[in-house]
Amino acid sequence: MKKILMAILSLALACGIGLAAVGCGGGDTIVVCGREASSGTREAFDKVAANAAGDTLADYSEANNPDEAAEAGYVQGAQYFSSTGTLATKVAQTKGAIGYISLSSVDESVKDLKIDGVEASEATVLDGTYKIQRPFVFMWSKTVTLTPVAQDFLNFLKSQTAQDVVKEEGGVSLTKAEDRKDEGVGTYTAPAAAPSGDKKIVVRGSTSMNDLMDALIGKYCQLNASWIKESDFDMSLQGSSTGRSAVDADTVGNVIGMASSAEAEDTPRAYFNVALDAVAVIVNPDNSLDNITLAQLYDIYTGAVTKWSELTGEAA
Amino acid sequence: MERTKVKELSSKVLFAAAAIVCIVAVIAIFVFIVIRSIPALSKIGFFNFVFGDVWNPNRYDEYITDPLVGRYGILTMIVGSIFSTVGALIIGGILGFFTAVFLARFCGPRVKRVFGAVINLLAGIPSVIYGFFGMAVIIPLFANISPTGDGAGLLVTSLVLGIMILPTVVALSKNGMEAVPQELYEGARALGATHEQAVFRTIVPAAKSSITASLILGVGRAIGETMAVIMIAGNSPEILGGLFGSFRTMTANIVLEMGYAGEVQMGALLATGVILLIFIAIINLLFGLVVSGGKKNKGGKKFSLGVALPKWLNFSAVGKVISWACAVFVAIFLALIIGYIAVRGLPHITPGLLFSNYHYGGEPALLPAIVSTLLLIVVSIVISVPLGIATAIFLNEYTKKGSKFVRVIRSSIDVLSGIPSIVYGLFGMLTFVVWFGGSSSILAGGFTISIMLLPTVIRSTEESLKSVPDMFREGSFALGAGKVRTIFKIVLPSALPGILSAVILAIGRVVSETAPLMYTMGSVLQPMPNGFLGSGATLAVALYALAGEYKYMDEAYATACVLMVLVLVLNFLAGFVGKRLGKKFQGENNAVRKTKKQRQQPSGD
Repeated sequence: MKKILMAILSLALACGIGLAAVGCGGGDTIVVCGREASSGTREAFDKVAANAAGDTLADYSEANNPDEAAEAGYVQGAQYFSSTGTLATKVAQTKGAIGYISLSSVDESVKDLKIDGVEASEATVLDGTYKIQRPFVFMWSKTVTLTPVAQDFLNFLKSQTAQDVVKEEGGVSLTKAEDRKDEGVGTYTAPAAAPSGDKKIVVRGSTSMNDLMDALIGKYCQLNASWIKESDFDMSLQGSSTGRSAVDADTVGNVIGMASSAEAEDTPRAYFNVALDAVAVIVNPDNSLDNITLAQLYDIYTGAVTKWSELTGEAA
Repeated sequence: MERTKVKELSSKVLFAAAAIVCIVAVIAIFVFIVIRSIPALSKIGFFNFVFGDVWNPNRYDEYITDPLVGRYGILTMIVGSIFSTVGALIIGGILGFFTAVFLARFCGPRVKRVFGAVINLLAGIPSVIYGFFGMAVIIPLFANISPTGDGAGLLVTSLVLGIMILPTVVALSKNGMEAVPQELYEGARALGATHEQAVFRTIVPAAKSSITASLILGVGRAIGETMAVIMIAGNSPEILGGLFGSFRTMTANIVLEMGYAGEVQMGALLATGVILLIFIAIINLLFGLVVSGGKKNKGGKKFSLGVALPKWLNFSAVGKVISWACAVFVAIFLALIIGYIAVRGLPHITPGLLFSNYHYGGEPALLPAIVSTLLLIVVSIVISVPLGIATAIFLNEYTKKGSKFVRVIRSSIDVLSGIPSIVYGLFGMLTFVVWFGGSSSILAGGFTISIMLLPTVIRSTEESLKSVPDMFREGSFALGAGKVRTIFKIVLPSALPGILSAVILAIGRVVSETAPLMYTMGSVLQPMPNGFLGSGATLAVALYALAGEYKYMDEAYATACVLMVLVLVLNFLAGFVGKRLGKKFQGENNAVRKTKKQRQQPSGD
């Protein structure tokens, strides 16, 4: 009896602590969410979201006056996430949140917005009317000659077979040479015998391209099953920047780097763009907003706009 | 005779060598981090680095750049780390202490067994899961009371970290309280104390050093946690804005920027690691003072844990009610976490997910990850457990109590336990990965995580060795046994349950770690590993990789379920083995206790 009483008493106490956290609140305050600075997705987003004067978020991050106590990046209080999954979970769980992820990762748990009235699709990405997009880039060393196996794999990556895989994976495939920044789509024929030399191929770089690369390696191993094993691939992904540094550090000629944002014109690496990917701006499904402009995005991420009601015009 | 002497001597040398290896490991890590961070520190300026409140790095800054473009002040992150750790210590320390009291003295054996096992299960849940639980369950709850409409920030981080350090605090404190001789309790009761008074005035003070040790390890875990924190803290490098402001800890800073850092930036991140080490050293020093102050029972008296317990805990049933309440709160929280993962994950566990090999481009499958995890467990346990136990034996059996040498080793071990796992990851990446052929491998991951496990193994083995009464050793010596024989035949068997629980905690950590393995062993789902030199993702890393791709959330939760079941099975197995082994000894133990009582009876007043 005493024990039961004790249990009830302590249950009440515990519930008191645990459920003290129930009150009321709205979702009108905008909870600004973004990716960490090494993310290719963020690079692409920051380059495009701009105000009327043409200042982008990238400019805002770079040029914030060091003498002010401003932090690198977005408005004070913004939250930064290290993967698509955590950012999307956050937005799915938080009424007032806004964030951005690769379009291929969007599902019904979050709502993607039109940008300047344009919905993201293969057509709008290709013709450039959907503004927030970035290329998926394959990179390799300019200074070291690739091993025969790595060269053969690269030929495969440049081929129509690879473009078919891109389409299957939901990316926008690029066939025009000027968009790909290379000689254009090649044809791939599997070598009759194993190329000479070590078979190891090192893959480093963007996590956004994980799925695509998985599928490409799978296809390549299937085509060359007689001489290459899946375990010949050493793949480890920690962000676009790590792909670039791995290619720069390559001394053997077996590193294929991946980046999910455009390479600079004066890049020290050889590269081509294999596909385009749209970056979707996502909000909570309960959010009534359907469309957002690039200028509004700039205002939100710099803190000029802090309430959803300022955008929708609805009462808070 | 000669043979015995050789045996004795060589064992002593072996045990001492193990202890020295541990010190070398600490020194190596420490020297490595410090040396690599000095150029950046001298470039930025130590004062500007520690007291600067703007963190705005530029990845193109190099040591020859003048002046630096970026700003490298980590004051805001130091503040963030301190506040979240203190918060975690308050929440996890209080909950853990009272739950341990509850388990040790206020509940029946059945409740104790089940509840204890469930709390051990907590230790095996990967931090990524805590992070998702925090995001999906706690933050929306806190959003209701948050002025910003979002629950992320200090409060939720403290709460989640507090829960994460619970298993450490509970397991060690409970072991310590159980090791207090029953005679002390009986004596207190005989003097007229109630059960509560006897527990809070006699047993708790007697178990002070275990409780303190558990808190040290807890603080180490809280300050070093990265993966869960980066999901719920917000990570904005600005000054802490109250309970619900977005903030960044030092570990989060390292893990977020390590992947792409430029020259000066990387140096600054390593320097962040140095500051973390300094903090760990200070914490250890403080706790050391508390413990020794308590022992002397003067001067440091008011800091001593036993005395600092408020008096009202002894009266009526207050202490008991609080113990009950904490235990119930922990139980509810546990049920929530486990229930949440089960509901999200169980429906998606399929034979195809579990038992088919993964192929590039195919559906996610976990068999390679399961194999990699097992191989990693083998490597890390084979390295860390013998080394750890040997060091603990050396410290507890071979050295004079209070010798300087022992104190140095012990404080190095404490420092080792406080080094954040992400720093181990960086160290492993720049040493072991290079040694084992330049690319991630299970061996490199195993070595990295072994160093990380050492303090846990050593500390808990030592605690269980301490709990073996000296009487046993004296009896063995009296019967003519040598030191080695006494250790292996008498001391180790009776300390076995404690050592086994240390090994379980260690395996739990291997299974649940992600941060140090991503950079040393492999970060994405891969086909079957090529032996120990092949790379591969463990289940926890696979979970992180799957969850990172938003579309595989179901598979991620299923992986989390598999992980929990794995930890459950491990705990059950170890508990079973410990019981079988312990039983044989239990009989002898009781017999000795009886004789001791009989012997003491005539001489008592």
